Amino acid sequence: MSPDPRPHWLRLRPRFAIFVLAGVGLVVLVTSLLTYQDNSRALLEARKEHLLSLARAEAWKMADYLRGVSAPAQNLAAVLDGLPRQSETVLYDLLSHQLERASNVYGMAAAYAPGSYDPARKLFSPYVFRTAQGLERVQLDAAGYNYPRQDWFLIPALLGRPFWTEPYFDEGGGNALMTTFAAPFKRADQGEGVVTADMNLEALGRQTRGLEVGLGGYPFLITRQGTFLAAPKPEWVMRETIFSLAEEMDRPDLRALGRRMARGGEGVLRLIDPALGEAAWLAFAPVAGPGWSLGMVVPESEVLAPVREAAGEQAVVAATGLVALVVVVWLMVVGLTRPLNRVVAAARRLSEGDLSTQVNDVRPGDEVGELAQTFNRMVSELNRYVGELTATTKAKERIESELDLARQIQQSILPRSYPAFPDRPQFDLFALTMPAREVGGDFYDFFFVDNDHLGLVVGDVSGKGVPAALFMTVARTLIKNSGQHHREPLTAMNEVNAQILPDNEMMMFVTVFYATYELSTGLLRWVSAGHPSPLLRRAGGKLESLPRLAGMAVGVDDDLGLELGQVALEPEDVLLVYTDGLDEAVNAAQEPFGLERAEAWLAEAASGPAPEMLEGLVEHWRQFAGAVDQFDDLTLLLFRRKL
Amino acid sequence: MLRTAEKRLLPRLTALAALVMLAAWAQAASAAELERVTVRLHWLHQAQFTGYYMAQDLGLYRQAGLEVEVKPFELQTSPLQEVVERQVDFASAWLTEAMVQASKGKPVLNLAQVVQRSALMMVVHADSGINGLWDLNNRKVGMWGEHFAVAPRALFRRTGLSLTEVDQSVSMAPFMNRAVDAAMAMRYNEYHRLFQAGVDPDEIKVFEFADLGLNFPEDGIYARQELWQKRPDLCRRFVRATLEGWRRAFADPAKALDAVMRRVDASHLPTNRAHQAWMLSVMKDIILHRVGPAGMGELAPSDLEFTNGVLLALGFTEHPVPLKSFAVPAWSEP
Repeated sequence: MSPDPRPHWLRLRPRFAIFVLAGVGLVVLVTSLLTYQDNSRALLEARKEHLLSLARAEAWKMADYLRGVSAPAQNLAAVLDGLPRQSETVLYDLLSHQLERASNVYGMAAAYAPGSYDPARKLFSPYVFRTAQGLERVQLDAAGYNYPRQDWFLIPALLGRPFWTEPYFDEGGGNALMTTFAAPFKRADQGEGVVTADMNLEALGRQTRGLEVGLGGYPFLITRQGTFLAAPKPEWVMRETIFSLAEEMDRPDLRALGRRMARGGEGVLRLIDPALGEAAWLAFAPVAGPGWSLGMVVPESEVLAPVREAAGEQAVVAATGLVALVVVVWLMVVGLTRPLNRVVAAARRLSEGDLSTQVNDVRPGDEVGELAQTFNRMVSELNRYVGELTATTKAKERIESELDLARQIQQSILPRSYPAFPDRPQFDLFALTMPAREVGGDFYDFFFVDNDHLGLVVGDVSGKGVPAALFMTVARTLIKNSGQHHREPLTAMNEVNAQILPDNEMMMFVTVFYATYELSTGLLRWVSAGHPSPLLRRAGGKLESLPRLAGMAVGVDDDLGLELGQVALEPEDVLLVYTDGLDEAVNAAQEPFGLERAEAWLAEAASGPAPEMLEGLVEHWRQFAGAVDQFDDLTLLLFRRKL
Repeated sequence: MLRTAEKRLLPRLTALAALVMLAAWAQAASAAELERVTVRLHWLHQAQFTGYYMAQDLGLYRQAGLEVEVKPFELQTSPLQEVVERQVDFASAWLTEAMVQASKGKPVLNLAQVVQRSALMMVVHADSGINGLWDLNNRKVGMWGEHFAVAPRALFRRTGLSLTEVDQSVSMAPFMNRAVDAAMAMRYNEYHRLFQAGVDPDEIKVFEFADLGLNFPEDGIYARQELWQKRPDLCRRFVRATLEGWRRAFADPAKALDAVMRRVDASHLPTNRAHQAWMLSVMKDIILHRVGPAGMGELAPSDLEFTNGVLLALGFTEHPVPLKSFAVPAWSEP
């Protein structure tokens, strides 16, 4: 037998709802994640691209603005390259002329190398600069200013090419943050001096700080040495370099970034922003001219904000959809399970014995409808069957009671009293029969033929049941009749045969052992019409086998061919007559009881009253056969001569 | 007769009275007895002068009975000249400069030699092909003027190198832009400024003058000869409080840096904390060099002798500066 299946942990409705919800929810979740990732990536790429273009464009604008500073100085340097040495006044005029047209320039100088303008005059550098009152002219060396040591002179003079200085605080120019562009000029291939253009960086710084980066981002500007010209924190300007921040914060990545920027590189990268303290994207591009680097920083959280918003909306839509789906699924499952529940309820009523139950309110047309119809049909069938069964049972009960009556009648016609003949002390006699069914075909009888002769009969009708019983009754009556008319067993038996044969349309027959016992002599004379020979135990306990006499069963042929046997019985001799129900009985292993067991029992059995002895044999027989249903009736007759 | 309560009260009242008097006296003392002195630094506010700041901030000067004004370097001024002209009481200056002034008969007196080891170095680009001093031949070397040139000139003279000296400011831009092949740098300042301008240590090569046998002690505390003769205790109190300020700075660098940055911020100087931290750490090395915390301030006679020799040889001075008239141990107990 297979083990009981594990029960479901939930009923159909919640199970269905949960499965659908989990399945659809999973799909929605995975899709959302993928979409979120895709959108993030796409948006980041777009933003990076945008940020870099922005940085490039602004760096280009700045470079353009700075060309407005460097161009006049380069123009003048080119002019001085080609001209013979000019007077101081002409130089001032040239400077003023350039300065007037270059609104981005604060002041301009033509600084000569020591002794090159006038050997008598070591330093010579006319300088024109803006004041509130207009342009002012001054000699740079006037206040003992040793300009040849300064970067703006020294570096372009030594390198022979234009140079932008690092920004510096100029105390002369109103303590403003300045930077100087300087272009060298030559005379006879000898460096003679440089033309400079000073520029106030306040405006540029303001402009840079005002750049619209968007998304909570900020711009910054660093020089080639990494010094901040515009920074998210004002205190960084001119004080911190990107490298000093890297040092202070122990950020090697910032240092690497600074080196890329200082070398004029451009790019986009992700970093933990030192000012914002969070992940951010940085695009940087070089400013042509001074070689500064313009950076644009946007916090990553802001870049991804639209994606997050979209994801949020998507989540709301998905959640609403899922809720709606659950409702729909629930309704569907309810519609599906309600008729099922009706069928279940009907089945429960049926199981409780209500055979009139029907499922009425289930619409046909689908599987559940079919189930309901089938159920109804099944109940009808069941009703019909139960009705038939009830009728059959009643009939059977009636027959059984009749059979029972028949058995009682049959039993009652067999002589059952013991002692059968209380006034005859010469013998002890008892017989019993155990039908295999309610009524049997076996029978026995004993009667006095005359005063000295006792007739003993044991018969076995072919077939079983009621026909056999009826036939038996006929046979017994005929035998008793004939026995009482003829002292010869042979004659009596032949007469019985002659009487039975003509009317035997059913072709039934009966084996018969018939004997007469002469009380005065102890002589037993018997015939055996197809019946097994009885067993004889002599008084000393010795078993004596009686010969098997010829003879056919009564009712088969008109000539039985009977032989007559006779044996003299001594006192305490025991004769056992039996039907084949004794030796042909089988046990559970299908072994027959066999004649040997009966003989062995007889040899061992203690002498006693005939009923006790037969009961002992029946007990022995029952122990052998056990609970196995026996096919044949069993009939035993025990006769013991006493005197 | 006093009652019990009053007996108990009396000592307290006495103590209170004494305390009040003490406070009043201290108040009077601080007002009346704190002497106002000034010291001129030979450069802008930076960690090079942390000892002065700590002595001031921790009240070491006050404890020495001094109200000290620490004045940073200003353009067109010379600290030693101001000392001579009695515009300031004390000045911070390099030994070589002070010796040149002394040899000219200026009455400057070394009260303590603070920096024992030269922080001056020469830097070259690692890829410039300059691997040894000889490779400097026919190269351009950026040089700072006056006494800053003593060590490099002595080196060039000793080695017989032929090169072009380029007079430049303290900017490292000429070097970084390769307008010069080599440049001077102080280990505590320009060397680290290069780092903070994105130059990696392996991109440059340094020659330290102290390692080349040209160790000229640098920063010292100077006063007029006359001040020492009249007020030796005043000089001692100032010098000893300053040196104690250095010791405290080395013991608590974070606090010292705060003191530095306060002044830097107030003066709006273009520098940063990381740089000043570096500077302070180098100052510790070169101040404690040879003498340790206990011997701070001593001017070694051998150092003076060596410096005399070089200055004479290079023509910075015409006769040696004798130790006795040039330096006094104002850093030690009388």
